[in-house]
Amino acid sequence: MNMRSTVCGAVMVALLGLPSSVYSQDLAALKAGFNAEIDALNRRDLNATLAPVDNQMILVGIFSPFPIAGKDGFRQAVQEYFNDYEYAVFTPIDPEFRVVGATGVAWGNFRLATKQKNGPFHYSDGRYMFTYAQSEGKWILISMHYSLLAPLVRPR
Amino acid sequence: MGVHRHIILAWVVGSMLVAPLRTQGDDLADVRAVFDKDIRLFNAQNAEAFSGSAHDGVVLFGVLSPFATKGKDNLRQLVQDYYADHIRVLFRPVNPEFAIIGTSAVAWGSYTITEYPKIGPREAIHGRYTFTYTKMDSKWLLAALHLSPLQGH
Repeated sequence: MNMRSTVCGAVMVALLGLPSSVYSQDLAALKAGFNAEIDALNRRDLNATLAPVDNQMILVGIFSPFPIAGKDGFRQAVQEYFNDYEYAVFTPIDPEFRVVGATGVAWGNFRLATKQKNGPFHYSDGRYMFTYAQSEGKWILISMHYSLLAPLVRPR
Repeated sequence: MGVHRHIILAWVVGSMLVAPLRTQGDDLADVRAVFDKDIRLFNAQNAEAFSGSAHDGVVLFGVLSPFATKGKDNLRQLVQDYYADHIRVLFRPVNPEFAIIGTSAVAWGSYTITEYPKIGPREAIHGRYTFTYTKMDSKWLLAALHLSPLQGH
């Protein structure tokens, strides 16, 4: 009887504890995936940058007014970014993360330091939001949206 | 017996092939309906716009503040304050697109917001948007929004 109570209790604890434990694991994996993506971009590693990207990836960036849809378009945009700058470092500021169901959101501010060949350093400040979908225990990047803060100097 | 087994097998295989297609199509229609409803509510200056479909933990990067708005209540308050400053506000999606990835979805495109403020002239703002949804308990909920005005607006 005692044995049965102990087993029953363990099952209850496991059942009750599972959601928060799973949430923590998902959140940690989301943070790790985001950090790996930023690291890949800053290392100018195209393959690593593309690794977590979904085929339907949507990029809303700061170098073009037009959204880019699809992994091929994203690959081209990243390649052009690497080609255009001999130095480009993206630094997240106050990064935040949230897991909602099987969807992950990473957001915050950023500073982008860039330098073209023979050109001066240029700094851009803005906001970023990456969204992820969970597939087979992995976080897949489904959208990246960047907006510069400069236009917000004017009320809109 | 053999015939029955073949019929059952054919039915199971058929169901497996058709079900994902139906689900994908249904999900697309459902996300589009949630998106369209929010735009209709917003243009009718209804307080439920965006917050009605939002998850409690929704996050917004919008055009009214450089800072993130976090949570459903704060989103509702932001929208209400926006309405209070204007006679009318119209959000018009331009080339709206949708992508379904498992139980996540993205609605994205460009937009024009036309504002008729209580004080001052009418203004049109052009930009890009991404709305991210998550499916929970068979319902698509708004998890995140990002609106970025184009340079010069």
